[in-house]
Amino acid sequence: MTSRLHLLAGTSLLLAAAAGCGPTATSGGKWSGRSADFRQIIERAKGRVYPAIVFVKPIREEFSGGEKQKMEVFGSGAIISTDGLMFTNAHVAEKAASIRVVLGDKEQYPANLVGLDKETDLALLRIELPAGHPPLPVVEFGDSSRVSEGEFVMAMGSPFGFTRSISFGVISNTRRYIGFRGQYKYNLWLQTDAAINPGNSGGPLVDSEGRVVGINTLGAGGEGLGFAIPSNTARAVLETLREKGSVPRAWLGLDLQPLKDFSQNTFFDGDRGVLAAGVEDPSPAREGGIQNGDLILAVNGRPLDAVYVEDLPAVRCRLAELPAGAPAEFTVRRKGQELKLAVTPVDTGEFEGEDFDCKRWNMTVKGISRYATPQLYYFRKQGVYVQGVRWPGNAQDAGIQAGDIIMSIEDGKGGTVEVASVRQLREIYERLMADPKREKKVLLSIKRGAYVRPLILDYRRDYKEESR
Amino acid sequence: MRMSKSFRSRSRWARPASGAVLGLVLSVAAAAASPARAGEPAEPPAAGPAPAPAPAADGAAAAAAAPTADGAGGEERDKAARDAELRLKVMEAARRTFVRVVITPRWDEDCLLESLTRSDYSGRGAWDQAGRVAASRLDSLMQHETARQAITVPGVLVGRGLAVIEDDGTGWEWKLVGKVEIVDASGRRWPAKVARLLTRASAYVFETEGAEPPAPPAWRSDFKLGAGERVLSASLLADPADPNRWFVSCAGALLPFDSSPASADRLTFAGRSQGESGSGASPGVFFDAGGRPACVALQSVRLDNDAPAAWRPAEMLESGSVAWADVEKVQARVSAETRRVSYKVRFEFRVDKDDEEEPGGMAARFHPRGLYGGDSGPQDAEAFGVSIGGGRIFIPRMLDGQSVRMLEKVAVKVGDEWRPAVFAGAFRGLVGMLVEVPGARLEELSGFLDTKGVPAMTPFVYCQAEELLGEVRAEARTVRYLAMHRGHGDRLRPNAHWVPPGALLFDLKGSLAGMAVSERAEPTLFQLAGSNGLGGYGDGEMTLSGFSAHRELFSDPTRAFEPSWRPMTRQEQRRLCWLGVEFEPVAEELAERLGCSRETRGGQVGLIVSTVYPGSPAEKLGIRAQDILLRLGVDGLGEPVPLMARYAGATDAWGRSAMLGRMGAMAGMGGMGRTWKPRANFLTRLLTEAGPGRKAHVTFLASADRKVKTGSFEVGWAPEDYDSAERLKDEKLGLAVKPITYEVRTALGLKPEDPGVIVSWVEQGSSAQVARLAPFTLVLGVDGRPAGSTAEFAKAVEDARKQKKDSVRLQVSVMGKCRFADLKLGE
Repeated sequence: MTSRLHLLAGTSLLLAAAAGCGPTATSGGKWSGRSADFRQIIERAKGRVYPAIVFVKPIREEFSGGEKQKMEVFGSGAIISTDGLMFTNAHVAEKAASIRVVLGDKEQYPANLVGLDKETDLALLRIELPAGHPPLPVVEFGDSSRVSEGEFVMAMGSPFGFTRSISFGVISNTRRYIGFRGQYKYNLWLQTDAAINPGNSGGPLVDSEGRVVGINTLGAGGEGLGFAIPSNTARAVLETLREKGSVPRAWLGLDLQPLKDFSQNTFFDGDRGVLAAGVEDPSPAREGGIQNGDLILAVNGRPLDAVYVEDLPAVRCRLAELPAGAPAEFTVRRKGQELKLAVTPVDTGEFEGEDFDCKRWNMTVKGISRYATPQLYYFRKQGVYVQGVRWPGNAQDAGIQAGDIIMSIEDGKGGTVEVASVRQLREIYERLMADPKREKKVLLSIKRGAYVRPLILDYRRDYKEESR
Repeated sequence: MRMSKSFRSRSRWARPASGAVLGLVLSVAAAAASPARAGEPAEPPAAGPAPAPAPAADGAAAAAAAPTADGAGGEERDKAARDAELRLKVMEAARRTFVRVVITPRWDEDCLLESLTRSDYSGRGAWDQAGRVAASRLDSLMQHETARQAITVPGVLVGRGLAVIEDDGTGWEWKLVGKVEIVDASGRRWPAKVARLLTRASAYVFETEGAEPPAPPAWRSDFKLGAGERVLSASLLADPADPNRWFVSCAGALLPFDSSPASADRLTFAGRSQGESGSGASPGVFFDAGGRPACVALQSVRLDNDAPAAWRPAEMLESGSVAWADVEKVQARVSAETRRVSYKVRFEFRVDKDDEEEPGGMAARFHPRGLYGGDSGPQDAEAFGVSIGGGRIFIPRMLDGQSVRMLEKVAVKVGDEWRPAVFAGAFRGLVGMLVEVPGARLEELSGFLDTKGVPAMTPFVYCQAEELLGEVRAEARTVRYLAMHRGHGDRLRPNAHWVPPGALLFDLKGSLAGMAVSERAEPTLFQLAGSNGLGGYGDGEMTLSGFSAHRELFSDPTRAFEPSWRPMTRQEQRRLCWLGVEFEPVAEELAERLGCSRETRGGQVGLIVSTVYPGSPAEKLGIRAQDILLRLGVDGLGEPVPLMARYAGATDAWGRSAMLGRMGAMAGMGGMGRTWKPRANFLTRLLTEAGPGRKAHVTFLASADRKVKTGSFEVGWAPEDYDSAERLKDEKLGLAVKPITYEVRTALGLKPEDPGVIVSWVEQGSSAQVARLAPFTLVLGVDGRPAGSTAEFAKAVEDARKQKKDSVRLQVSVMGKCRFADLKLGE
């Protein structure tokens, strides 16, 4: 039951909140001459947006509990094309075995995933309409860059499954950065106090003109604290998803730090460039010669500045747009000297690793990925880790724990093999299961913390059969 | 009556063999060893009276012959009848020979308080004696108070108004003796007091007071022991169920002792309680075939399984005795002498506070164990020691190794003031420590007696100082000497092993004879392993030593000290010796699968190596990950020890929550958990206790070729590890850093040349915390300079301060992600 309620408890977020500016004075221009009658605003918004609101009901396949489980989740969305394209959040539509959508509380249809981008938490679906269905109502996007603090907005969606609900509030901030952790590094957020609850995810944030200025995504657990993806960002991403099914990004291996980092109380002089605080090893940036502490001034001749943390997403987007495989020229300042370095970005690859349920072993595994599991990635760049261990279960009995990295396993052919990918592990698992004469025990070695140890996984018991 | 054996510190009244009341069959002492000739003092037996062929057949036959013996023949029946007649005669004679010595305890508030307060001293082992004395006193006092019961012990009339009772070697609780009365079989009572302590026979002589003392029976003065004459033994016993009923017993038959009319009215109920100690059956008396008493048998105090000593009364009384009044005088002198040379010593221990501050602080928490064991002893401990000359004080107790290492200060009370002292060392072969008081003039022990050639049963007086109820006391008690410790030279063996260690030993003239010390054998590797390598040594066997035995030791003690038991700094204490591996226990199934069930004894033995540290002895021996360690031996510490899987302990928790819990969160914000185990594990602790410099041998199964190999290495100090490394704390910045030690480097996959220090602690609200530093974050550089060590880090911060900078810029890294963090310098 989700819109992802991020408990962004942690002073970082509060700090961000504290550091953010209060509502600026309105220009006055926008409102002058127009009636600020609430009833009219709401009626207008409703009229324009309501018909296109969608209640999204995916059946998700979850692997974190040690076995593949199906869960019904809900979220919201809105239709953007008359033939059935609609948007919602990635965290609503991801890993869906099937999706049903309810339109206007009167019709229900299946929908398919067209494309998904975890970094910006957006997903594009296509509603499977029966032949001859009349064209669907669509929403209109507004210009999120012209939104200002204090402006009235409405969040529409299905909080807690209560479909087609409207909540009302103002824009609290227009340039909120919450990319401190693994995700959300490529965009800023609209913050609003319109109630965003689990179930609202993916629904539109609508201005007083009835235009979608944001896509509701996160609630912060506190009252009056919700975040929406700005519509300009969403439009660009949705367009790319429609064309390509995903958003290709380039990876350089740079950890950037703004020049004035209030959250970490660290300030550099100057107002040009962005700090390469860290360069991963190995990475294209490292290979190109960029070092920790370099100040990147320009890429391919165009200046690149990130003075504040809110500037970072734009910088990252610029870097991500560099074509993979083609060297880009980086202008870098190091110890007072300017250097030009050639860095060839590579494709980012998948955000998270593949999931697999080792049914008989009662555990689920997942590929280690740079973005989703950076701490495991640090120890093993290409590998598989245990995502979940079912209780009761064979893996549990063997002492395997979630978070263990599977280093090596018997390959079923008499030898032992290093495990580098989920696919490889799946092959071995299937081979072992398919061999009826084989003793139902497998020797594998896991890395837990800093240490590697061998284990016997005894799978003579069929737990799932018993529990039926 | 429940025989208040507790009235004595330790009742060693010989118990009837099977709990039921039986006559004891005694063997008669051999002629050679017994004081057989009248008028001559007995020869000191070399090893106590030797057993003589006992005319036990008679007694046995008599006992075995049940009253319902079938008519197997008239002759037999006649014999049985004659035996029965004899028995009756003997028992009637016994009635005239035995008396009951009735002792009424007196109320002593001091004893009461002492007993109650002593329960705070939870001692253990041999040091429980004080506790036992206290408990027994309390018992007697309470018994008297609540049940108004007196204690009765069997006595034998050996002369006019003279009765002897056995000294079981514990010494009576003379403090609690109030009124004494001697009561004969007819019920007549005489007041009495203790008159003499016999020095060859283990007995006390009581004398009645007043006119008309009881007359003894006619003892056979010409009785020759061992001459083949038939004797029957008898003794005086109490009914275990009813302390007021006494019996004389002979060869299995019983006759009530009390013939007074009053006792005839007593009703007896069936169902005697078994097992409760009946009163002792000693002293016993041998009667001849005519029913005349021949000799007294004392049996409480014996050397091993020797026969009891049998005495003719005349000889017994003349064999050697000391007036009790004199004994009391000696005890007083001894007490004063003991107090003169005893000094109170106080040990103060270090308190390691910073352990608590450190997150993931998995370092073994060191708590001083104090002198009485237990896990968290007090922060200081006190004990009495004896001054042995040269400003040195010997404390006969032992702190354990851990506690010694945590010693911070030692002080000795001289007169009224506490003088600082120095911990000189802990003895290896004895339980005891030595402290030195520089520049102090201390009283000294003087006058050592040569304890060779001391006859058996000789009483000695032992005394030890202690502080109780607000004053320093030294209670002197007597103990009987038995024999020289065979093969141990000048070591005395008392009959009682409850003489507390450190007690001084004096003879009855008040001359110092020796001191009680516990000996200690050097522990073997197996013992160290069993005690979890924590350096706990068991109490050694207690011996009373003639002082000359240890004079050498005390004159040059440094040679005899345990080198690793000395005060250490916190850092030193945490040093470990190493082999250089991390391990997991092997399990049965795993062993089977790896094909090493035989070597690992079905998975019971074996530690699977998970990591080998570079530069370690293990690496040099060619041990690799997945090898299985089987056995460890250390030269000089006995047999090698199998490395049992159970020693590995719980090793599972490491790394899991640290990694998983923080996975989704905080990448780049610090917040990494501790993924490396503490280096203090079973193996390192064992090697550390074994001590550096020793040669060790490890047997392991190499996983590569499945061969069992043995490698030798010298036990040496490991490089410092995370828990033992000195931390550098900068209060103003609000953080502490430690060097990146070898196991952390391996755990984080860092190369040896990668510079950096690791944050071990961040203060809430400090500039370090505001800059989002967290424990286990690596600091790679400061203001552009690499921070290769805590010293470099400190220097860089100091330089920044000198330059009056606002802040220092740190380059930090968590899991490979680097960033910069400015820390505001000081306020």
